[in-house]
Amino acid sequence: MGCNTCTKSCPMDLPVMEYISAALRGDIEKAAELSFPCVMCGICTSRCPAELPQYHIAMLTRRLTAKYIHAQADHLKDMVQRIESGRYEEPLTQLTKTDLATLRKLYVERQMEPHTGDELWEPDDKRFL
Amino acid sequence: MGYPAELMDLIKRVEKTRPTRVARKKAGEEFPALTLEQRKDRLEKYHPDYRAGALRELKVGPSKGYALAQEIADTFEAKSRIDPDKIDLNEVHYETDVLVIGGGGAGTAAALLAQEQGARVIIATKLRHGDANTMMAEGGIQAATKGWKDSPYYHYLDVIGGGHFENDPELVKTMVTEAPKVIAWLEKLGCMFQKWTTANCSPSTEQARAARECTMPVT
Repeated sequence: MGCNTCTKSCPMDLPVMEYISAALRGDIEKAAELSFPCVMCGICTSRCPAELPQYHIAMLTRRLTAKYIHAQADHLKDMVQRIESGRYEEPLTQLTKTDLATLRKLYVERQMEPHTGDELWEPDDKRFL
Repeated sequence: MGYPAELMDLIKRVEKTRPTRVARKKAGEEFPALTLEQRKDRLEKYHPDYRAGALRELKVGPSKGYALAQEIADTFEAKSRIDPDKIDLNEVHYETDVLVIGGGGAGTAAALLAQEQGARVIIATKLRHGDANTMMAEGGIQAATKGWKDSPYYHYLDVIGGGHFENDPELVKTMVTEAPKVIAWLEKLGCMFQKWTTANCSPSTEQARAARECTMPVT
């Protein structure tokens, strides 16, 4: 309809009619990006004279984008494979049996990623990766 | 903004020291984490749960004897709003294999997995589906997915330290092992994680890659 009541009532100041237009012309990813901060309050839908469920449409575009349009994360598949290969079974079982004093020590002395580190930072001790 | 005067003074102090602190960070200086003693000290001094009389033990139920905040204990021990005399159990309105009570993150996940296994499921939740604490938990979700610098082993240490070493070890082990699989499941369901590619990554011990996807959860 284009009355923009939804856009005007959005408490997150989202360009509601814009993402609906994007969805209408098939630009699912754009609709997902524009609607991302949506908090699902439903005010848009409650006011719409054309009875559109804008916030549900937006959520669908976000799910479709993430599932079909965005690439799947390779490193995530890697990690799942590593876990299923049983690689961490032994070290983790060890930890469940470790006494309190040693656990405290391990925890306090664990190397943490520096806040200024970039994504490619690696720990010195690679035994438990 | 509505902050009390003491907080406004603290905010000004933070703003005044910010340039120096940013400079130190940029020079590579890492601020040390609080020691366990310092954490204990701060909690005992300032955390509301540590005041005398802040918690009381539940009098009834499977968690009888467990100490909770007064307000939560009040809710747990409150009288039901439903009059049991008005309910006729012979009149069946719905039938199902699995009834999930509460439709937040845990309830929805349980319902989906039960349905995948072939059960008929009904979720009973007090507000709309999507109105739950899980959706408000915008601090993020933890899982050791970045194998070149992280693993369930380190995640275990983080969890058990964060839990004051009182966690159930088997539960922690299960959680850190399943966490990356949960992220993969969420990705498959269409959860919009923030992703970017890094070109020219240093090769991992197993494979060398020209570009790699990195994920980071958003709200």
